[in-house]
Amino acid sequence: MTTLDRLILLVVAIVLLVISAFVAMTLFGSSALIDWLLIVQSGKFDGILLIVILLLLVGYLALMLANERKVDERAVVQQTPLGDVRITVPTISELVNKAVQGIEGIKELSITVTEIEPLSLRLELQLLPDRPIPQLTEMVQASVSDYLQQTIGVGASVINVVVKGVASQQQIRM
Amino acid sequence: MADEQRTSLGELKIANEVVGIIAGLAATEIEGVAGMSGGLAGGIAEMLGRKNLSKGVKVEVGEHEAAVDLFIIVNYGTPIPEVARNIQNNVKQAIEGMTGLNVVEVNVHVLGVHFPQPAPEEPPQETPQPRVK
Repeated sequence: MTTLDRLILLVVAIVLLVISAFVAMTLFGSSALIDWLLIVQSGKFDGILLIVILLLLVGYLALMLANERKVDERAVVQQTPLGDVRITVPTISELVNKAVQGIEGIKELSITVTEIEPLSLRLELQLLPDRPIPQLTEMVQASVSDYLQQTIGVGASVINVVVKGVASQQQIRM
Repeated sequence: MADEQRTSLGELKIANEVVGIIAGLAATEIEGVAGMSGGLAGGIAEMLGRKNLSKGVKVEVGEHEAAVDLFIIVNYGTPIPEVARNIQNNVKQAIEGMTGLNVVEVNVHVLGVHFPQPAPEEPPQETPQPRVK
């Protein structure tokens, strides 16, 4: 969350607190909220603008929270004389996905980086029918390990492959 | 926060933002870097038309030294350690050359891979049939 996000959150929180206080005061017999509504109704105060601004701020916060996905922050770290090079888990997953995509016979793939040090992966596959599974899975392991070694400079020490299923003809047509 | 240096004629201040921009530009020059990865606020600022040259860069500037963190997206097919090493050297040279600060650390965070979009297939051009034989 950036400073701007925190500032907006603070403004929204203050406005909501003020509104809540007014509502609570009304419940205890104060006419402050009603007086304010009368001023708004009389057109002396542009209350609609205030509500629009508040709604915009709430919308921005909702957008920010929706965008703030849970990102896997683990990374393969390589130390160099000038500092660290961190290759994040989402990057590794994208690379593995691309390495496997080139292999014929695989319909679906799910990747989990189980450990960083040493780099260990779990690949769940759904295969196309009539393919020799042992050869195919061996090819997947070799391709992934070679590709990671070439691209990130670290091969995977463990690549566990789980064949979750074989696609039916109906699924292939879909 | 700004780096402050004294000269015989007065003070010289270099804002963190400037060091960030130098680092960002030096990093994106390197082959294999698809772009910098900024946060949501940076993205919105760009959508609103403000070009954010220090997007994806975090700098810490002291009196004589600087440390930089770069958050990058790499192009598919590039060897990441080599790209990172080139970035570190180029960023260090650029900052030291332009500001006189000693760069002690350039940490590179690879946050994603950019895959090239396949070029859309052009429909075959039909040669118009002559209307008369």
